[in-house]
Amino acid sequence: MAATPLLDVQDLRKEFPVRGGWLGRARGTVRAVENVSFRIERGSTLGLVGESGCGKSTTARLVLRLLEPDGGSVRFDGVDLATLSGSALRALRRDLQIVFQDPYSSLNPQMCVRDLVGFNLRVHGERGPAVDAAVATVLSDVGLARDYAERYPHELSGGQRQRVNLARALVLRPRLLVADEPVSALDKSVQAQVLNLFVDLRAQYGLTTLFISHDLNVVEYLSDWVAVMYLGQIVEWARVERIYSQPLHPYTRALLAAVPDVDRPRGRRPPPLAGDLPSPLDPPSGCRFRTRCPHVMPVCAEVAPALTPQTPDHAVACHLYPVAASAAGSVPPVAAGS
Amino acid sequence: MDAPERWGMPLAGAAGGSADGIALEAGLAVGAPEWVEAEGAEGQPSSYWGRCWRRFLVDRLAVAALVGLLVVAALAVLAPWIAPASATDGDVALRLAPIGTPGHILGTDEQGRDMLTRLLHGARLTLLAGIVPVLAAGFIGGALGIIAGHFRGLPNTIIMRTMDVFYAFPAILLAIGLAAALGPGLRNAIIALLVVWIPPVVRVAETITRRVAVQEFIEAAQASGATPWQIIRYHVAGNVAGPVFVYASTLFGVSIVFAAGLSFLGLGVAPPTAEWGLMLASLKDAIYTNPAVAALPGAAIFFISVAFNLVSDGLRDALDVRL
Repeated sequence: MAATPLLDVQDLRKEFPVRGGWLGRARGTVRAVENVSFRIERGSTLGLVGESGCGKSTTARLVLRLLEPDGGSVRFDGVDLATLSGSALRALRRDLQIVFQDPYSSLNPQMCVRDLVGFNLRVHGERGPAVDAAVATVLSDVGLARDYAERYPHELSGGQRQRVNLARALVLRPRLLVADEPVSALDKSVQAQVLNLFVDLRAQYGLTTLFISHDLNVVEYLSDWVAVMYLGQIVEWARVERIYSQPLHPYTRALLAAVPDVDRPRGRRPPPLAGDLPSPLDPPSGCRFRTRCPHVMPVCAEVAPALTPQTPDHAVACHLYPVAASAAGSVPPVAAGS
Repeated sequence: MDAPERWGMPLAGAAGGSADGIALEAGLAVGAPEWVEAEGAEGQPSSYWGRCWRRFLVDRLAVAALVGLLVVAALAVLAPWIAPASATDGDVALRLAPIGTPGHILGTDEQGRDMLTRLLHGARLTLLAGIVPVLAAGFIGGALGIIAGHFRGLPNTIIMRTMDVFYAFPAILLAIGLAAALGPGLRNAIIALLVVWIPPVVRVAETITRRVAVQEFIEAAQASGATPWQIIRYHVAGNVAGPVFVYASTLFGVSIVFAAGLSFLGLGVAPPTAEWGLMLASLKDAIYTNPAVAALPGAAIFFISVAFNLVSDGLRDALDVRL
């Protein structure tokens, strides 16, 4: 039954009004996420990459419906999340869990680990010894010793806190796990442990994952598919091997060139990306990347390039590449099970 | 799996498994602040409130003030049994006896009533009229502030703009006006002070709630499928309670002064009941003939109010609250 992907995101849009004008009138809108589409097949992982402020976290919150989208749809296992509300939505949230970035503000300082993890089960009406047993199981799965159940967040290190966050998500036995930069606040050495744990648990719990990160090394390690975001839009998507061996979009290339790599000979590095991310309040006309693109052409200022497949498992939104006559337009990546 | 190889950072080189990870992270956690280590030595996990209490105990002045207040409160409660004389009937022949008079250690007032007895009985009403409004305002104002801060939008506008109306009047003027409108009596004085203390508590609770609401653990609770009320009860209320309690504690001292002030003006309890503000008012004519005795109720108000402020400062430091 490969018919419906577990997660099917179509033309997702989110705008934030910017207040501050006279009498609090909206001064403009930030188009944080614009026409983002992707699918994730059961059991596979999509890595979403981009700079800070490109809309990755907003996308995560839209997928989980922690934010209401301004357009587009999120279908989870064929169910449009926008049609759900109240208790039906809360019940479905068991299947969609998230691990947040900040190991400090993501744990209530007044609750011990057992209560933090158990809270998610109690929310769904579970009580008694079953809750304690489930919490104990998941804590041992994330590698926290038994006596950590009584500890409070301030007694834990950053890595341990992220393990608690992982346990809190996994205790509900979700089908989709959204990981919003789960390791970027950790030391490199601890990152490695948490990522390895993540890979083990993904297999053990049979998780489908949306993994968000600005770290291309992390994404390469974990993902089956990669989508690259720039200023609220997906500019390229491909199978993970392809995007690292044959990046097409100039932005993807610049990102890859900026990745530190001990194997690469010195002096052969392409120039780093110049300039800052343009203001999302007033994005450039045409292609949003043109202000920083080394290959900018006149057409870039006039026409926004559409995501166009170059091969069946690789699409790019850039005027440098031919528009295939057959399938112009936004084609969401289909992350097939590996 | 090539995981350990690819992610084999120097420190984690031998790890890769989670058991070693724990050892490593536990090792890293040693650099925590000193009080964390002190607790680690006891081997007891420490709750948020347990830690706050231990930090409060370090502040000697605040602990001394708290002990003093507890003693006064105990004396006030026990006043009918321990007071040496009657609070309302005096010895008319022995009016305005100086401090140290045999049988009347703290002297007598203008009707010959024993001052020690009057002060003990007065503490009951003064403390009651000072503390009850603040405690009630803490709960009512805290709840209103949490609702306003958590739900934003229309509830916020309705609650906060209503509170703004009360801010149009200076606090003491509002208390006097309300007490005068409601009529004299202890109950009305308490109601008047309650109305005065609710708006500032609401403001503080709303601000703190908004600060808590943007933390990721609130979003995590939402993502888990918790209802707004579950989120408020388990994640918001506890984190707002500390700062609101600290703020409310700063009001105890002022509230006692206000309560005494209302009685002084004749808007509190009626004579001959013993109450510090009322005693101050009736003794004010004796300020030239027997200043030491006349100043006693004022001194009592002063010391209680200062003690409350010291405890409040200690609480603020212990809970690490920035208002």
